[in-house]
Amino acid sequence: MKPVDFDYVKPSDLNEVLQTLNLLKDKAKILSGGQSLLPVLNMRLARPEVVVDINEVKELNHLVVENDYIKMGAGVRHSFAEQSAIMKDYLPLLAKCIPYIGHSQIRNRGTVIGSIVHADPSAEIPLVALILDGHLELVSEEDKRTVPLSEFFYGYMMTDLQPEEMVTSLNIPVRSIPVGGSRGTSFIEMARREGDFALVAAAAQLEIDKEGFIYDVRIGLGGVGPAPIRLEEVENFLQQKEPTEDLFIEASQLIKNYLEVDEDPFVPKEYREHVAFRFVQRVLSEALADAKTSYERMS
Amino acid sequence: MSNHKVQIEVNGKNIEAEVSGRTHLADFLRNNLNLTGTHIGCEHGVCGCCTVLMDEEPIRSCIILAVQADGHKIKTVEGMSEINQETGKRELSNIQKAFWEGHGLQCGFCTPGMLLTTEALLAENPDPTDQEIREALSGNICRCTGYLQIVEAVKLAAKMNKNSTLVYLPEEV
Ligand SMILES: Cc1cc2nc3c(=O)[nH]c(=O)nc-3n(C[C@H](O)[C@H](O)[C@H](O)COP(=O)(O)OP(=O)(O)OC[C@H]3O[C@@H](n4cnc5c(N)ncnc54)[C@H](O)[C@@H]3O)c2cc1C
Ligand code: FES
Ligand code: FES
Repeated sequence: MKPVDFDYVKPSDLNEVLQTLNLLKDKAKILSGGQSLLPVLNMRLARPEVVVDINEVKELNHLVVENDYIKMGAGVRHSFAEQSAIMKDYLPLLAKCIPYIGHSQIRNRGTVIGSIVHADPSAEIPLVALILDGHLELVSEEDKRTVPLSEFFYGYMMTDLQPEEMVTSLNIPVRSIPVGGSRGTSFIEMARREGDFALVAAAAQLEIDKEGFIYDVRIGLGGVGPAPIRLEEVENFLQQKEPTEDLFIEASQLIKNYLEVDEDPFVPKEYREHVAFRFVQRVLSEALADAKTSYERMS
Repeated sequence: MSNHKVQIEVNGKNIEAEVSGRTHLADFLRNNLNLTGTHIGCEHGVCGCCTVLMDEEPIRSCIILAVQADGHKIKTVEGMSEINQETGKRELSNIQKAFWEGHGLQCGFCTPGMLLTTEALLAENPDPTDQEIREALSGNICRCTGYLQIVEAVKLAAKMNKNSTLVYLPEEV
């Protein structure tokens, strides 16, 4: 199990990366953390002619708050994001999902953006970035565009990224907590072993106003389709209501109408559906409990 | 196709070598440097037995290219033993002694990865709970021990690190 022979290049600035991509198009592959690409290369599922290592491009290492966005460069590794104070303060949900990604050895190398581009349907970061209204900055030698996560995933490991493009930044809007209210988050997943890809993952962020009603809610599921999904019907149903367990049970019923879980040889469809259904309820309860404790902490 | 000159500090020694772009670090360590203590199991990042430390952090050497280690520090299991300051003799490290003493291995295939992951864990958290040990070692698969003695060995190593009189044989290697 060895990769095919390829040329390895390590540009030290972005322009050089983009020139190389423009010249070679799909003959080239970007190497970031390598935690998905190297397995693929070792198994010869990809046979690039040139591997373009972006680890020396220092301008991609930013993790900053700027113009009401948290901006994360392509160089930000899982382990760095996991420990960053900015992440804990502004994006607690993203901070919470990172420990579920693989193992420490994987998180020490793998990058947040690499995980989005790889687009595994059960990956944690794509799900969380999607429900937090994240968008990506895509850059090529000739063009620059932003794509919301909601338009980035086409299907199983397929995305809107063009061969001459690379992703330079993931930007997630900063939301302020409603005055006198609180925010809670929760991330849960079911995997066969610790660190394996999730069979089903669920994420929720709940904001409660000062009267105790739901001010804003975001919820999504991973692993139940070709790409992570945001449960907009559930969100709309919950909006402005008083959060209770019964309400969450009712909300979880809604997904039965439209959840289309793929059949796979290892996990029965019914099992995934059942877990998804339970997780919607549980992730909401846990987010509510978290909102209550953070409210107590503040008052 | 491309060849690259690299300078890597391996177990404290500065190594200069030429590697082809596609060679992963585990192959480089084993085939070019004869450091066969780094084992290769799955070769796609799943089993953890190829774990080495790069700049003190545990990584999988089968899913990083050798050329990517250029300019970095690598530690393999061969670099774990230490010179005892009192006797001047080379000895196994506390973690290795604890695995020996606590039967933290049977066939030994997973052991190099277990040892190095443990070293990084104890450097960061000198007194881990069972849960923290299991979490830290979750990326290292062992098909023999059932993990119980491994967890015990890590706890013993933590104890030995704190209490230098808890020294077990063998003294010399
Ligand atoms: C044993 C194991 C368990 C894992 N478990 C999980 C898990 O539970 N959840 C999870 O989400 N992931 C998991 N992973 C994958 C890990 O999170 C990867 O780090 C991540 O999916 C890819 O990030 P990377 O930086 O390593 O990307 P790479 O492997 O370097 O690249 C992945 C793909 O994205 C492209 N790419 C990378 N960066 C860019 C960019 N900036 N612009 C354009 N293209 C780019 C590459 O060309 C390649 O096609 C696991 C991996 C292993 C080996
Ligand atoms: S051989 Fe590297 S993780 Fe299995
Ligand atoms: S001792 Fe045999 S695999 Fe762990």
